[in-house]
Amino acid sequence: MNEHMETAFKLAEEALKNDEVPVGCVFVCDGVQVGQGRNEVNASGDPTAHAEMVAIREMRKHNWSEKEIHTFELFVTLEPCIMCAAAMYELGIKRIVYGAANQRFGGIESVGNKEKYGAEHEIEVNSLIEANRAIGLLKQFYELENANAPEQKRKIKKKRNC
Amino acid sequence: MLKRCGERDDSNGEECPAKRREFEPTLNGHRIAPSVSGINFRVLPILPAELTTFEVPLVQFYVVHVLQLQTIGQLIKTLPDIPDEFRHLKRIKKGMMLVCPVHCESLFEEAKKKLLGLNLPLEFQIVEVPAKKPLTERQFEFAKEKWPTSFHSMPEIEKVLADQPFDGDESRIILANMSKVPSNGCLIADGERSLAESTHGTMLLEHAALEAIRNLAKYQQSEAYSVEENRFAYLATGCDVFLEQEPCAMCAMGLVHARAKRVFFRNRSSNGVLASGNWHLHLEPAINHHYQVFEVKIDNFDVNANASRHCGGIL
Ligand SMILES: [Zn+2]
Ligand SMILES: [Zn+2]
Repeated sequence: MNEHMETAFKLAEEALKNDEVPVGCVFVCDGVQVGQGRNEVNASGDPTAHAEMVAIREMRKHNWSEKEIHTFELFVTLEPCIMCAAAMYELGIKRIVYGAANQRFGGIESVGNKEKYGAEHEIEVNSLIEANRAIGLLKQFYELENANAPEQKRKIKKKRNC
Repeated sequence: MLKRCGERDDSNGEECPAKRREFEPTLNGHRIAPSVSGINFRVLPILPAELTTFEVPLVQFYVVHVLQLQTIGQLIKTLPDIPDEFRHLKRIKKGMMLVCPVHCESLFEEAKKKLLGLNLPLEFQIVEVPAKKPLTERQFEFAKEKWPTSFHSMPEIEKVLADQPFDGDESRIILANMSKVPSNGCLIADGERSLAESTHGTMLLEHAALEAIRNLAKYQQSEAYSVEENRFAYLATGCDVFLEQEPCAMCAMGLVHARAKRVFFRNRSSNGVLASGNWHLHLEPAINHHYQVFEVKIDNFDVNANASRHCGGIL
């Protein structure tokens, strides 16, 4: 398995241990890890503190040139949400590698895409390379979260079609 | 965090709006009267076509004419159930009873056989009926002319569909909040009370809306918050967001994550995703939170060479 993706998963596991949505990411420039982040929404109270944003907010303190940013590669355990994906198109990074699709908010292809954002930049995308591992972490998180939630009663109605 | 406050705005050469605001209400550098009177001010909701249309799609149904009133009970027992997607339709209209949709051929054949077995005088006909449950009062007006249908009025929707969606008091609050938005900025307010604001910053991805959300989070985490607010609010739940520029996908999704209730913007952005003709992120069915979106037009203040503006500043 790719070493950068391995780092991203380590960060996702760390997020899970801290009661955060288990998503982690690494930014790579010329083969070297130059930034990393994991979800920090609950601790910060900031709903935009997704792994990618956390990493960028740390990284932007250094003066990366536009040329360098255009060579960035993002390794992230889950397909970036619409907010983070649109951010990557604005930055104009080179490549995104993600572990599993994000059906609820995915901004690369699941729900949003560059056409919807009016983005012209092309990003090379490699998807679903570790889907089971990424989804497994999310399942653990939601199981923990729902452990104390009341069981939902669902009315099951017979469906009538013609 | 570096802020652009104090920096000149290329389009109209104004100075820091935060400083100036203390003295007079302004909008993009133009002075406005503190009251709404005299200002030609329109707030246009950006809604899905299924709500703005006056008509609903129609579908063909077989009906059977009831030639003897006392046979209705017998007929009802014999007729097939109406398919789920057409459950909004009432069964009977002026001596006619719905049998089934014309496209359900086998269902009709079966029903016909059973009905004929009753040995009653029967007459079949095809009629057009509303294929969807009407969502608005005006759609209901159209639909009920075709065939009786159920309808549940949604006051929130009826309100924004009206010519004057906001009454004087609410208009005044919207205009006042809009006038408090920093240049190129964003303001988050709970009614009249502003909770957080921001312009866009100088660093990468420091767009106004995202920065305002972060400022709100900082405020909500602070001790001052628990003292000043006598309620516990989850992010921007129930809050209105005011923006000079239509938000880009990043900002619009940030506002979804923040659970904003309504979003008001003044100028369309070249990278915007909410205005008509753009994506309409706020109407995307896959997304689990939806805020209402309004374009605010204020006469005499919109002529501002803003045509090529982006969310996130001037590219
Ligand atoms: Zn995200
Ligand atoms: Zn933006």
